[in-house]
Parts: sequence; structure tokens; C-alpha cells
Amino acid sequence: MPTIVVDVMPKPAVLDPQGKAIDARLPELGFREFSQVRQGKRFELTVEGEVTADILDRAKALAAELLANPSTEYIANVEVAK
Amino acid sequence: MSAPKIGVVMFDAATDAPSVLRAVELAGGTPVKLHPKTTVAPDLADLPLVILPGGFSYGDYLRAGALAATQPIMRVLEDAVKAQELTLIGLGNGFQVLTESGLLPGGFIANDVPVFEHAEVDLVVENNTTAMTAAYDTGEHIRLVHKGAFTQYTATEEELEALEEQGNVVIRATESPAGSVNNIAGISSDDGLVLGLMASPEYAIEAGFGTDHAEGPGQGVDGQGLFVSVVRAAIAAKNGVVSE
Repeated sequence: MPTIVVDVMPKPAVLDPQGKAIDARLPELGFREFSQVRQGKRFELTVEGEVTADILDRAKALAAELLANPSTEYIANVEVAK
Repeated sequence: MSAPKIGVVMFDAATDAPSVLRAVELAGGTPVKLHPKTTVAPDLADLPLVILPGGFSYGDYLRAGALAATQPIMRVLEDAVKAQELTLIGLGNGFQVLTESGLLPGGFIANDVPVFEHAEVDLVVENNTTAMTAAYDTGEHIRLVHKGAFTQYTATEEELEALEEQGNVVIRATESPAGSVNNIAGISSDDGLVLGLMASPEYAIEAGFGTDHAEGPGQGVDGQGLFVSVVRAAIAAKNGVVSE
């Protein structure tokens, strides 16, 4: 069954307290390679049958209407899962 | 005059709703429960004001307030606000529902320190011409309960500028426990018909069971003013008096 993946991310780092909290733990755990962590959300939409252009557009519409809040987040990606 | 009716939306598992019903009653109003699935507008001539109570309806899944905002009653209330027939007030989680509905600008994200915060917050009433603040003085300090994990208010620069310029920041914290931008706690729409407050005034209405106070623990009843304001606004609306 095909799956459409929608990734939603918080806008700038200032709007990502959860990412910042994870970020703050890294040095103590020895992960010094990463200068920043940002935490977003991944949604998986299962489609019964083929993913047409229309269905992908519907997924984008759902992302804009419900899955992301444009005040604080942006839709980073909408694509059919490989 | 008979007690004016105030609508209270009974979102599933909105744990603050019973306290809001009681607060409305103590302030001299008659609370009317509204079901979130209803698609029929209440008789707005008889019921000019509706409160969205807090209490983490539908959890904080997706985003706090996002799923409650999709309930059928929100369409009905939105239409009534657009027709200038209804004043809509969101308290705590109810405020999040209003931003998620697009009825108020901005949005809520995880607290600055991302944990569930339960604190008493000192607030200043900056605008006492609204349906939720008329019984307070401008500049009055009030102390209310603040609770939740996703209570950090934020908005775009343009939204913030507009809020501040229009005097739509109605209540401001002296220091927001969630790290909200500009310490914003309560805001109003331009027409004053949609109001949100990130605090729980319903837990500061009865001496002995309110917030901490100089006179002793639990003696703070600063939330009363909000519900008295609401009841007054409902009376004024029923008499056809347009509030300021």
C-alpha cells in the first residue's frame, strides 16, 4: 500500500523549545559533531491504490489545513514514500 | 433581571469546564452547556456570549487545541462571530483553540522549558474595555493559575506589531512562566468579539480555594472579575448595548 509522507517543522529555532532541550544534552553525551537539533513531525498517510497527482494535492491540502499551523510551522516535505 | 445566559462548550474531557460552569454561576450568570458536535447555532439573541473552557481537550496531540478546533460547533460559532452576533472567549486550552481556528492571531508552542508548567502567574490588566476585563481597573495586578505544557504564545513580527499597536494585548504577565513573547497572556481581536487568555481564572473565584494571597494560602479570588465582566457583557449585549 503506498504511503505519502508529510514532514512538518517548526519555523525558526526560536520556535522549537523541544529541539533546544535535546540540543542542550548533546555535549554531555559526547555528541559534539552537531551544532543544532530541531524537532519536527512526520505524518504517514496510507493510500488504497495508486497515488495520483490529485491525491498528492489532497495530501498537500490536508497538510496546510490541519497538519501544520502556519503561524509556528512550515511543511518541509510532501512525497510518496520510497 | 434574570441571570443572563452564558454558553460553555463542553469539549470532550475538558477538565476545566465544570469549574467554568460554577464560576459563571457564582458571577450571576446562567451557564448553558453546548455540545461540540452541534451544527445548529444556539439562539444568539438569547445567548450572546460563549466561553471555550480549558483542560486539554483531545490531548495535546498534533498541536494543543488543533483537534478541538475542527469540531463542528466551531464553524457555527465562527459564523456567529463574523455576523457580529457573538462574543467568544477562550480560557487556557480554549485560547489555543481560538488561535488554531484562526480567530485570533499567533499560536502556541511548547513552553520555553518544555515541561508541564503549573504556576501562579502575576498579570497586569492593560485594557479594561473588553468583555473579559471590564470589571478590572486598567493597570490592576491579578494573580491566576497558569497550567499546561504548550502554553508559550508566539506570533509573527507583523502580528505582534498589530497586536501592540491596536491595544489588543489585554492582559500581560509580569513574567510569563512559559516564556511567551512580550509576556502576552490575553489578547483581543480588532472588533473585541474574540478574546483569549492563557490562564485559568476559574481556579481563583472562591476564598480558601483560590490562589495564594497576602491574606493566606488559597485566599486569592482575582478570577472573579473576569466572570463578572463576562456576565456584564452578556447583559449589555442582550439589551442591545454595543460594548466598547
